[in-house]
Amino acid sequence: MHSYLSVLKIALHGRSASKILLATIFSFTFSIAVILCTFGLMDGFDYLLKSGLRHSSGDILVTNRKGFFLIRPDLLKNIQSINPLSIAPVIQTEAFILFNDVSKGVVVRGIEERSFSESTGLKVSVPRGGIALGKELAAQFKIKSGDSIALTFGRGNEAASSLPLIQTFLVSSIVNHGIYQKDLRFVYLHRSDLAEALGTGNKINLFILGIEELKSPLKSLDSISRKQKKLKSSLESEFIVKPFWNEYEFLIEAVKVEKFSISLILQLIVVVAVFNIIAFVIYIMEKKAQDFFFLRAVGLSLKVLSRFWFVSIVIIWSFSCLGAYLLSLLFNWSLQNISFLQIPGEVYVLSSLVIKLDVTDYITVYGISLLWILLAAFIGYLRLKRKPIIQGLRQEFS
Amino acid sequence: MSFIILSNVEKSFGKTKVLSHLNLKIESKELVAIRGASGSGKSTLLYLLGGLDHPSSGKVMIDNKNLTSMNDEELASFRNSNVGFVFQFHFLLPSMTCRDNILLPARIGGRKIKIIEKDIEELAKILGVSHCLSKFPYEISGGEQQRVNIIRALSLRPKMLLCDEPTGNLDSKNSEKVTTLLKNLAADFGATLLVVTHDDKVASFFPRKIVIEDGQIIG
Repeated sequence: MHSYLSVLKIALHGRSASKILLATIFSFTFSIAVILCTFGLMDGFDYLLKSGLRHSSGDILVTNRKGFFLIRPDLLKNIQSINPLSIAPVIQTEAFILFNDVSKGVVVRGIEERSFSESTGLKVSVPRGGIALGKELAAQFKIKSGDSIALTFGRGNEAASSLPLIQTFLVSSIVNHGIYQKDLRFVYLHRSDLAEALGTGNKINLFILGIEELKSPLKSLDSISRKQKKLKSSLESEFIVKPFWNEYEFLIEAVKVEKFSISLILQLIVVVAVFNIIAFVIYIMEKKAQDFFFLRAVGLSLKVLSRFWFVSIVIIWSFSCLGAYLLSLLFNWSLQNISFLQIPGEVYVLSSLVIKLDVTDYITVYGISLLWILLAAFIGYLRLKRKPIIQGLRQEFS
Repeated sequence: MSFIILSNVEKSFGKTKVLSHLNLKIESKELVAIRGASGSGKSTLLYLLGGLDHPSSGKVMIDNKNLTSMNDEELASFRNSNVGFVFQFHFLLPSMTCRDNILLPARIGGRKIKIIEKDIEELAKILGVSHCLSKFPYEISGGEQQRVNIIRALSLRPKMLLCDEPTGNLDSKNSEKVTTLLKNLAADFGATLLVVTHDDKVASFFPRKIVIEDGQIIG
């Protein structure tokens, strides 16, 4: 320990050595942070997209090609055969929302609060006569809870020539799906209100099924995919069974592919940082050669000196990893709290981004950076080993 | 058995032969001057004796230990325990106080500092540099620096004190002082003293003189 500290003291003596060391740590920290944040953003996008979709679609959606259908016992039995955690019967239609002389086309869902919440994890408060709106829609129309708004429904083909049905509802809650388009388009009514407005009686046109626990983020889509296929094969052909990601499958796939390709490109950033480390090692070797040769003369073995290098390099790496971790936390906080960094939801699907990193991401990024930095240390070690003490002393002391 | 035995030692750097067929015996506690012109191989001989390098061929035995067969780690440990080096340039590290500079070999060797500190205080008193111990090298004079350097070389009570042109930077008056000091200290510590010099006057202070020319002992 003493010998390590003595060597360290010598290596870091002088303002330029300390400055170069700090610059090295900072550049490595920054490089690792960039990679971590990029991975985190992609994982965060994937996570938010999936959880946002689950908030609106549960895990599996069952519709019928003919539109409305009755909740028959045999249909329920078939659905229950895949052991869903919850089943939410829903009526879904389209309408126009009217507020302050402005209208907009929206998707209207008639739901039962409890079953919908169990299937999607989205808490929607819609008592009879009430309406819940997506937050972007509410923001766009400047609607708040307690406002009264009107919905205009079509009356179907039979009544095409007649006037549309206009009904007024009291805004009972504003909901946040986490997906911009859903927050802009979706409104919720009590299922009975919508059934009455449309005259559909006991019929529905959508089942939303909850398959996996909603509390923890989805690790894999396999189980849902398996159950979706099983249900599809057990239901009559007029039923369409889709997993929740069906709507944005291309995006989830694109994120997966991009994550791999970007991880390769980002290695360049690490390489640049490694060059800094190599420069630091060479600088120390050149500037402190005199000191090191003297230390070797008074009994410091090559083994101890090389251990010093590797330990120092690992310490640099550790500080860089810690710094990168803190930077990624800071960036994550900034993404969510600084308006300048918030993304336009209409472009990026999601209304905000989050950095989501799991253990695998940390192991991958930190592991690869450790390999790079050890390579740099090895180059330094080779330089150290190549020159015999006598040659070093002669050069330095003559 | 002699303390130092060199048998048929040769040393080459690439194609250049620096030492050839050296045979030498030095007894324990002997005070020896190694004299020769620049490039004669005297420093190389000193480094071989100090375990700083391996000979190209031949055998170097010190205190019954074969340095030729030691690996880097064993040689480092040998240097730390048995050899005190005094170089022409005092070479005190500017980032450390004189005390820390003196303690450097002890720290590298993992010795108990408290015991060694007592010796250092005594030596510093003898050499008149007690006031320098807490100072940084750049805060003391050249002569004081050289004396601190000598304390560092003796701090671990080495069996051998190897000095490479220790008076190279000094005027004749100070050269004589340092030479006498080294002789007295080596005698007090019971160390074998080998001083490399090109100065005949410095060599004349030693009871035994070895003269090297073109890598061979000629006297």
